[in-house]
Amino acid sequence: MVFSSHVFVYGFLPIALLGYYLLPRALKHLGLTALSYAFYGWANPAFMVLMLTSTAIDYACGLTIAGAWGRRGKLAPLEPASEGGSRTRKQRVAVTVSIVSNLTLLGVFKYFNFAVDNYNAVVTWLDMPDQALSSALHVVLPLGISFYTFQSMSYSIDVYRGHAPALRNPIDFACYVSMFPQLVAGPIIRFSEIHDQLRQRTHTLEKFSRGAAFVCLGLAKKIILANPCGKIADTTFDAGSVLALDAWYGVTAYAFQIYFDFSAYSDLAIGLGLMLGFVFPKNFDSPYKSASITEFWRRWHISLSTWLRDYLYKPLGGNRRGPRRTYLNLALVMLLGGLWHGAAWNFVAWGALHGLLLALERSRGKRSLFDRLPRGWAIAATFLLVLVSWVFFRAENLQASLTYLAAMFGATGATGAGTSAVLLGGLIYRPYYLLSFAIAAVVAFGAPQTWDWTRRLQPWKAIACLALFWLSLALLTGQSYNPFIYFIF
Amino acid sequence: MNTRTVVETPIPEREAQALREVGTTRIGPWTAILLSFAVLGTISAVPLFQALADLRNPAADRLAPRLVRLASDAAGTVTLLRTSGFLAVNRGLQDAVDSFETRVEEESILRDRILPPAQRVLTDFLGVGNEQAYLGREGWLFYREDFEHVAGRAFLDVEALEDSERSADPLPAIRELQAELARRGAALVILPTPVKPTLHPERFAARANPRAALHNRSYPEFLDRLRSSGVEFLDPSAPLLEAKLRSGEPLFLRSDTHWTPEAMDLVARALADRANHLVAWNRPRREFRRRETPVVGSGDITAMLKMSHIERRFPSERVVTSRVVGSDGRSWRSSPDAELLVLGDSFTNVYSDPGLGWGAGAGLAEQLSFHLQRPVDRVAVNAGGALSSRQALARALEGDPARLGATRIVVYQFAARELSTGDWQVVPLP
Repeated sequence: MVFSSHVFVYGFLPIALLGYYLLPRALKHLGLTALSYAFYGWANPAFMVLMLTSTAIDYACGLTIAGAWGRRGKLAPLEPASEGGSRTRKQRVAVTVSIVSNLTLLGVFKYFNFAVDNYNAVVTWLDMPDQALSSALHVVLPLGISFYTFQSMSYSIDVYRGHAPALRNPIDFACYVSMFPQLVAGPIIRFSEIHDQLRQRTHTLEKFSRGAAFVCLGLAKKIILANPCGKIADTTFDAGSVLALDAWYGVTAYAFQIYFDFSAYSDLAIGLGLMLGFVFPKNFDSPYKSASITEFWRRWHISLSTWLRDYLYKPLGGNRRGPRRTYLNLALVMLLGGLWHGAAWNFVAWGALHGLLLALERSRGKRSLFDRLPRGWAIAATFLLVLVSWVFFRAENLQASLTYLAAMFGATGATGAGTSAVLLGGLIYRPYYLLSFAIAAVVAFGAPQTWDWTRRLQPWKAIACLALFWLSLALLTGQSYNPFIYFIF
Repeated sequence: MNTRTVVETPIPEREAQALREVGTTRIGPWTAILLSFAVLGTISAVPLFQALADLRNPAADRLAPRLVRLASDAAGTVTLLRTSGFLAVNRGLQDAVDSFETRVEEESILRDRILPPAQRVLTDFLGVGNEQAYLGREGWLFYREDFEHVAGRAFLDVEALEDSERSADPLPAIRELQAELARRGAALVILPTPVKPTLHPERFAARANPRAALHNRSYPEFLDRLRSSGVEFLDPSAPLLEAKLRSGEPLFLRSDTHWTPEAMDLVARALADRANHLVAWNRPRREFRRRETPVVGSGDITAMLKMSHIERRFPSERVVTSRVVGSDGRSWRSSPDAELLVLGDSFTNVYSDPGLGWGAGAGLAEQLSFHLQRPVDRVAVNAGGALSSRQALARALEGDPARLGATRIVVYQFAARELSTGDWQVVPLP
């Protein structure tokens, strides 16, 4: 189910809130889990089986790690592994089973098609087309699998490391994995960040109203800013040929689209979480105001970058094994981060480009490549690098990325008024799109992010939130299915 | 003891920050009440008003029965588990949910009340159409799929063809049709009908060259492949463009996806010339006359806009159609035993099918009859010209195996956008 849909806003959400607050405390998590499974299964009921499988495995692994499988009584966290806590073979096996099973799920459902395509490309290149696998072997990507497998894995790892106690109640654990506000596109909530809220949390009017403000602003970001910018981007990226100026305009619009789309989802997730009493950490911190790529990754999709840092980069040795190994680790983490987003070579290229830039900055002591420029210019230059990388992220494939980049730098020859490229201007420079683009630019570079803006909610801000909410709902009537970009990751 | 343990567990920095910051939201009690209840009121009021409106309208498909129907559909699908397997059941459930969601959205009272004025504001003040209808210049409207066909990806691009879930390559289906017809002794002429942005790009983008016809990047290659496969075709874009430059008159209706009667007539004349060149007719000519008939109509793209007070912004258009009648003055009728068959889509039916809103008796087949002075057979379906018309022909042949007995030539007309969006699966003729 999509947050920005009629069925969610006027059907699922009122029922979910009413049901949640009417249920007695002891049944709230059961109710929330049932609602979350209905939310998830709405798109494809079969996906529920997959999530249930992942949940069951990690629940069992968690109890095994805690040494509580088959025992009664409350659970305490293990001694932190880094502070002298030792782990038995059984515990090591359990955490391995959890990691391997989650990565296997992810591997099969996300990377199988990619592997088959590459295998077929290789056998075709070797002139052995009869060895190619049938294209009928096509696996459908379950929504949000990248998010909930990472989230579920963090549970076993956190329990193993002694950062959090295992959960005895399977409903509490299922509720954590499936929680509908952030299930499909994050933020990735690590178990250690939320386990105490699963035990005890408050429901206050203050929290609820701030959640409502997040929801209003999230919906507005998606419908008023991300969708029109997405139209500009789709038009230029899907064009047969594109003029250089239009190509720049298109990729900039895509940069705004992906930021407002994804941060809108995060705002909605945080807001809905607050309405249900949960506090989820911030996921975006005005990333386009970054003056370096290192800073960008501290501000962009924070839940993923910190997940990768804590569960991949640090276990690989982080920066503790000398500069070369640090650069290698950075590059590897970003490559895998690219692949996490999508099973295609253009995502690998996107990750590699960011890995390279991060390594370059690391070699300069984490200083920006543009540290001699005034901050405003450094921000502009960093944004330019981010724009170039977004081409790989948005384009259909690697070849299309290169073609688009060539168009941006005027190397495709699409210049004349007699080519179909000229038609694009008749659509993407319409006042509505220009206005949305301009507002998006002002908000991305000049406005505070939702988290800070809603910290103090005076009456005028509440009215502004409501006005944006109603405007978004009015615009939603004219928009058909408009899923969030990160649904496909 | 356990509670203490949980509290003692170090709270990660991000969560601590979140808890600290959210815990310090500064909001007055009345502001909090206003914000919370306004949001809750909005999301609850819409379904309540929907239910009330359903109650007041006995003909409405009410929400409650729809929900019951969804549940019964779902239950019905699950009972198929033993016989059809898990994937089929899952597919059935998905279909039930999709159709429920679509109906809820389409029949929403909110959409009924809000969309037309909202669209009016978007169109009048922000110069934008919607997901189907694009605004051109000087009151012209364009259909999204036409725009995307011309400006979009090359339709013969190998990766696009491989990735497509439909049968995207038009060539195999066209070759198969040609072979099937050849077995019956009939020739095939392909008529890919240019869409509006091809011939009127200047009405969409100010910088476009009005003297050029814009095609999808694959179009020249498509024509080359037809040529090398020995498939006859008539590409009318050049003569149409020439006519536009000569007369200065538009070739397409301002607010509709279709061509003007004059453009259609020009193509009919060119087709008649081509048919006369290709076929030695067995039967004598029969007289057909034309009568000028003015028609006032509102375009199909105007309807797609779903905007209030639309007539003020996009007034109806007046065209003069040429109704074709026989020598006895009776209206033209399709002749199943004619030597020429037109297989087509709404470009064939416009001015002939009254359902399209532009009069009757003056469509492409009628004009062809007039220029040839011969009866013409017609199998035309308004949408999906890539597939529907061929399927309709196959069905017609099933019902009447002698349908193509006298046919010497088949003109297969389809909107050029079908090359990008159509389903080109091979349809065997019985």
